[in-house]
Order: sequence, then C-alpha cells, then structure tokens
Amino acid sequence: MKNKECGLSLTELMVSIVVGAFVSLAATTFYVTTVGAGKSLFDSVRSSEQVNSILDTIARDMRRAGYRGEPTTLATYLVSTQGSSGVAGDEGDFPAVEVTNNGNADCVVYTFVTGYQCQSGDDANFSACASSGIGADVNLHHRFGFRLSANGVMEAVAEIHPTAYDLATSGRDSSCASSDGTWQPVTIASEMFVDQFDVSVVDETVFNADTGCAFDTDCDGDGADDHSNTAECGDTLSCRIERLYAITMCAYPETTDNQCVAAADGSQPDGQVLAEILVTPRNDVLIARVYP
Amino acid sequence: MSEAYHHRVRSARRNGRRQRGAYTIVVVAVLGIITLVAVRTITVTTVDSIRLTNNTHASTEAFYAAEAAIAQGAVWLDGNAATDALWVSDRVTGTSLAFAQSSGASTVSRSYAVEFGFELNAADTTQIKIYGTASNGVGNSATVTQWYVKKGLINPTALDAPLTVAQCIDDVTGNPSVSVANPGEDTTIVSANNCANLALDIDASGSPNNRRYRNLNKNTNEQIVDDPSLDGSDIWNSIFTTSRAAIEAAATNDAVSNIYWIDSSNYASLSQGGKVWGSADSPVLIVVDDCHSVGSSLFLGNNVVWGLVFVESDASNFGQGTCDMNGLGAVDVNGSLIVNGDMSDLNANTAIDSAALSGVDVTGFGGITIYAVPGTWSDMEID
Repeated sequence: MKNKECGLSLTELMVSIVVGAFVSLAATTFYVTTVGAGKSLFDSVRSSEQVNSILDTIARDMRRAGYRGEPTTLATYLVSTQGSSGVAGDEGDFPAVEVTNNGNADCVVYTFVTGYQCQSGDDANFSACASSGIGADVNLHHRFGFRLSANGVMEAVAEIHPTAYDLATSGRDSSCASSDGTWQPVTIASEMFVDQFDVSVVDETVFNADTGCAFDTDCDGDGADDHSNTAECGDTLSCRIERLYAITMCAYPETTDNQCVAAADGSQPDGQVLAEILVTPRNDVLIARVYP
Repeated sequence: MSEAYHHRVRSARRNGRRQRGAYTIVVVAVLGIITLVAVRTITVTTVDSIRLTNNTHASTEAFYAAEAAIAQGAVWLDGNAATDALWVSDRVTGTSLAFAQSSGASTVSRSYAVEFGFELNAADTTQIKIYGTASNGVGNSATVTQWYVKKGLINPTALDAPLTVAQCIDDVTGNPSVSVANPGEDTTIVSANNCANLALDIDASGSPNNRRYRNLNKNTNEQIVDDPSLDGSDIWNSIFTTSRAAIEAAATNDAVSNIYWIDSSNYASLSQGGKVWGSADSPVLIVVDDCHSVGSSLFLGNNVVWGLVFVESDASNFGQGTCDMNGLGAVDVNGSLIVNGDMSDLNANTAIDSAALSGVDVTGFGGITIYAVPGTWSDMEID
C-alpha cells in the first residue's frame, strides 16, 4: 500500500495522457501547418522567381534589342543597318523585336550584336570567321527569344541570327515556328504551369516623318495622287520609331491549365503569379523607304 | 505515525513533483523547438525573398544611374562643344545621384557615384562614344554606352557654292559678281529641270562676257552646275540639319546666337542698310521668311553679311515662287546666298564671295549640336 502512494493513480495517469494528447495534437497541427505554409510560401517564391527571372532577362535583352555594333563610318553604318525596302513595316535584315502569336500565346524574338568566338567549321558559315580565322573574336548579330509551349512551359532560344549564317549548314532553326529542338525549356513543368505570355506594343512614336512613316501620295493637297511626280512628292522617306512594349506572364504553381482565366464571378484560385513589365528598347528602329 | 513514514511520504511527494515537473519541462522544450523550427522556416524564406528583391532593386538603380551619367555626358559635351579641342577622349566625374527609399517611418537614401567619359572614333571624327558609369560602392554598378554624332545647324555642303537657287535665275543685269577661291569651282548651283539655257535666262541685252559676272557666266558652263539632287522642290533639308521650327526657335535676332529670322514683323528694324552682320570668325545665319512679305529686296543697300543667307521665295509654298532681288545694291555676302525658289533681277553691284574665298569659319554656324546614333546604345562590353 505504501508503494502505491509513491506512483500515479490511474485517474492521474489518464488525465495526463489526455492532456498530453491534446497538447501533442496541437503541437503537431501547429508544426504541420507551419511547415505546409512554409512550403507553400517557398513554392510561391520559387514560381515568382521563375517568372521574374524570365521577365528580368527579357527586360534587359529588349533594352539592348536593335544594337548594331560599333559604327565606323556613319553614312555606311546607317545604310547598312536600316530597313530599306518599299514594304511598309520593313525593318531591314535584322529587325530589333519581332512578336508573333503561336495560337495560344505570344512568341518574342529580338536581335542585337554581341561577341562570338569562331569555332572550327565556322569559317564555312560566317564570312567574319572566314576572314578572322578559327578562335578569333568577332561580333555577330544574335537572336534571342522566349515563347510559351502548349504544355505550359516557357522556352528560350539563343542563336546567331539566321541572316548572319547559313541555316542549311547549321541546321538550327531559331524562328518562333521552330520544332527542331533549338528552343530549350526554361521552366519546370512539374512545378509551374505558365498560362499566359503576352507581348504587345502599347505605345509607338514615329520621329522625322509627319506621315507616320507612310508615303504621302497627295503631296500638294489637291486631292490627286502625286506619287509619280517626284518633283512634288519625292520618292524616299526616312523615319525613326520608338516603341514601348508590355510583357505579361501569368502562372500557377500547379500543373493545371487555364487557371489564369478569371471565373464568372471574377474570382481566381490562390497561388496565382501574375507579373507585367514595360520595356522601351534603347535603340530606335530606323527605316528608309523608297516609293514602291 | 512514525517519523520514518512521514519522511517517505515527503520524499515520495517530492519525487512525484519532480516527475511532473520534468514532464512539463519536456513538453515546453519540445513545443519551443517546434516553434523555433517553424519560425526559422518562415524567416529564412522571407529574408531570402527580401534579399532577392533588394538585389534586383539595387541593380536597377545602378542601371538608371548609369543612364543618367550618359545624359550628363551628352549635356556636358553639348555645352563644351564650341571648340573642337574639347571633342576628345576624356573622363569626367558627374553629379552623384541618390535614390530615396521609405523604410517604415524612416527614409533610407542610397547614393551612386556617377562618371562619364568619351571615346573618339578614329575612322570618323564626327562620332564620339559616351560612357556612363554608376557605382554605389558596395558592389552595385552599371555601365552603358551610346554613340553620338556632332552636327552643325547647316550641312557642310551648304557652303560649297556661293549661290544656290532651287529653281531658275532670271534677269541678271548690272554688275553682280559671284566668286570662288579657285578657278573651276562651282559658283552657282541651280535646278535646270524647268529652266532654259542651263537655268540661266540672262538678259539678252549685251554680251554676258562683257558684264562683270565673273564666274556667273553662261559661257563658262562647267561652273554653273545643274545639281540633279535639286528636283525643283523645297531645298531646306539639303541646307539645314534641322527643321524650320528649330531654327526659328534658336534665332535670337542678335549676336547671342548669330541666328536671325527675318519676316514682315521685324524686317524694318533688322534689315535697314549700312549694317555689318557677323564676322569671318563668327558668321551669321539669316533666314528671310519670306521674300514676298518682306518687300522686293532683302536688304536695303550697303549691307555686309558674313555667313549664310537663306531666302524663302514663297513661305506658303516652299521651293516655289519668285524672289525679286532688285535693290540688293552694294550688298556683299561673304559665304553663301541660297534662294528657295526662282530668283529674278539679280542686278546692281551685288557681290557674293564663297566662304572659302572670304575666309568664313565654316564650323562656326550656330554652334554644334549632338545627337544619338540609333542602334548604338549598349550595356555590354564587347570587342
């Protein structure tokens, strides 16, 4: 009997177990909730970092878009870098920014000159490498770009511009329609579904041309078409275009399509990563046109 | 009960209390550790996120500060471009920039040291590259470059010939002279599209050779040039590098800018005779807008002009109309006279000497402006 008094009674023990169970349950719930919230936050940060790193890259690259390299003699530099055909909107062999729609989303490719070290075999593809030799550093027009694939994965391309090399020789197609593996995925399909990728021109300013870089056919204002009379109209014009682009991306840290589309009541599921940037390429587009 | 029993009971109670105490301590300790781990998880994620945002923020700030450095360089160059001696490679410390950022109740300011420099294009010395660099001293810096071209208000070719007429010359009488420095140089550039006799319809009375036209002599055809680029329309853009509005805005009508914009409102006060306009070292730019509204003659007699005179024959229809030069007696133009349309009645003893002949400083017209060359902005260092 004396020994029983030294331990715990059954009642005490059961009360302790019940209280302990409640405390443990609370602690476990707290821990699980906290870890879950932490993971959710981590996923969200990881998704937003994937989106932001792409947008940041596009912003920095598009600022450079249209860089034509160091000028030597200005007159020949301008002639060799501007768009010059009679087709409206022609921006020459190396358009700074090109946006196309691949059905469900946009694709943007942009071009600027950057350094390149000639590799073995390049002498057959690039005149710059043929004259400078293998191992030489040359400056070539490169094409970079991003597009959204049908399965919600962003893809990127970084190649020498196709006008600067022979596509048949290299076999690498950097165009938006390419399906030969030149474009590489840059987001992880199991972690994030990119629902939207939109690139649009939100503002455009045309300098040095009163007619919006279009030919004025009624130069003397008499209502008649004067374009054949070069004395009245002239047959060339040149202009400079500054554009402002908006790039929007929307993604979810799940793998379900179409979540970025708001429901009928305007609500959207949690976890949306939506980001938009505005970029102005610092190198304006130059166009010199001859009347067609 | 014995003392020994009470001792055991006290001892047992103490033991019981110790056991219950340990239980509480363990529970609290476990809870504490779980809480710490949870808080740590949240904190690490948040701090990482804040750190990433801060880094992005700082690199963006440095980039904008570097762009501001280029802008400072362009302003510096524009303000110091009066002489070509300053058009050289150099490096200048600019005005530092500070970005303010609100942090709760306090405002934090981050400062960027700004520097700009220049690199001359040896192959074409009209071009210069401006470097803009910004650094905040703790690892965030950026450099951007942009090529610029220096440009005068008039095209260099505008001063090649002493007399340029967009259309035709008619009724040359009296003793005008148009002279160049060297025999064989172009004296007069006209549009021959619509003009007979190589654009010159010189009064048939008397032989041109007997008149003191000097090189304005229709028998010396090679010196009267039918310029194919003159298509009978407005020639403003082949003379000036900027728009009419820009020249009119730059005109102060005095020696401050040496740019004069003469129209019907100020013709009487500006264009009276007996005046010397500019000098060989400091030439003037005179736009007469237009010939019709200011009267039949550009200047009354005895004016001497050092520089370029551009006359609109008809300001409501650029490149067309006829400007009657009658009354231009004893006017000397040292530089270039340009008529944007037909010119008639060049007579009396008007003398037009080319810039090369009269020694006019061809770089001195209205200072030098600079503009960015499209397609040359870069934030990369490439070979």
